[in-house]
Amino acid sequence: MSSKYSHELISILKMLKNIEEDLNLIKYSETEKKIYYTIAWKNANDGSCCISDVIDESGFSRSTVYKTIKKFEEDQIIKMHQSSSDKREFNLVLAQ
Amino acid sequence: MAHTLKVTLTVYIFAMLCYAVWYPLQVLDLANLNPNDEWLGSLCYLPHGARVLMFCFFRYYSLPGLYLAEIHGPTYIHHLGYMDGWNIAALASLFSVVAAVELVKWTRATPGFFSFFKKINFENYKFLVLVIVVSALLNGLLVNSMLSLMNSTSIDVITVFRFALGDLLGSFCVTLGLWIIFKTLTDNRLIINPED
Repeated sequence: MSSKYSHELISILKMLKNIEEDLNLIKYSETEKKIYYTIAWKNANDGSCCISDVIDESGFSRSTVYKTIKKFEEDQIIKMHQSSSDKREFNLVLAQ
Repeated sequence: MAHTLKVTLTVYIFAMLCYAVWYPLQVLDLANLNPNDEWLGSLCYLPHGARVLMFCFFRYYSLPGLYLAEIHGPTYIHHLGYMDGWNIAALASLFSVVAAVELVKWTRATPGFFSFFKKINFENYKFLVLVIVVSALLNGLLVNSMLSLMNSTSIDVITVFRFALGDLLGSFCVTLGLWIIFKTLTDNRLIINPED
C-alpha cells in the first residue's frame, strides 16, 4: 500500500476514534484492554493465567493490574478461582 | 497514477456498497413513506454519506470513482426510481460536496488561509459535520433545480426539504455504520487502533 493511501485510510479511523472519545463511548482504557488481552492470550497459549502472569507479561504495576481485574470481575467479563497448587494465587478465566 | 487507481477503486466499491444497502431499505419502505414510488427523495440517502466521506478524505482523487458510482448505482440498482437526466444531475450532487468543503475553508472555520489546495484536517469530525450539513442543503437545491430544468417539471419544496434531510440522516448513518465496524474490528484486534 502506498503511504499516502494508507495515511488517508488512517485519517478516517482517527476521525471515528475522535468521535468515540468525544462522545465518551469508550468503557475501557487502552491499559485495561491490554490487560484483558494478556489474560486472554495467556489462557489461550498456556491453558491458565494467574495474576502474577499478567503482571509479568503486561509490564503494568501490581496495583494497576489488581484494580483492573477487580473492575473486570465486577463487569462479569472474567472469573477468579483460587489456585489449587498455590493458595495465595488466583487463576483468571474469561467468563463465557 | 497508482494512488488515483487505488482511491478510485476504494471509492467506487464503498459508494456502490452504500447504494446496495440503501436500495432494499428504499424498496421495502417499512415506514410507508413513499407508497406510490414518486420522486420524493429518500429520508435516509446513504450514498450521500459515501460522497461526503470519500471526498473529504481522498479529496479530488475521489471524484472519478464517485461519479462512476453515481451513474452505475442508479443504473444497476434502482434505475426506475430516478428521473431522466440523473447522469448530469449527479454532477451537481458532487459539486455540492466540493462546494461545501470549499465553503468551509472560505469561511475560515478551519485554521489558516483559504486555498483550493489546502487540506482540511477531517480527523476533527466537527468539520465533517459542517460539510455534511452544508452539502445536504446545497444538494437538495442544486439537484432538484437541475432536474426540474431538464425535465421541464416543477419540483415541490417538500421534496427539496426531504432531499436535504435524507442526505443529512444518510451521511450520519454511514458514519455511524463505519464507527460500529471500526469498533468491532478494533475490539477483536482484527485491525490495530490508529493510536497504538
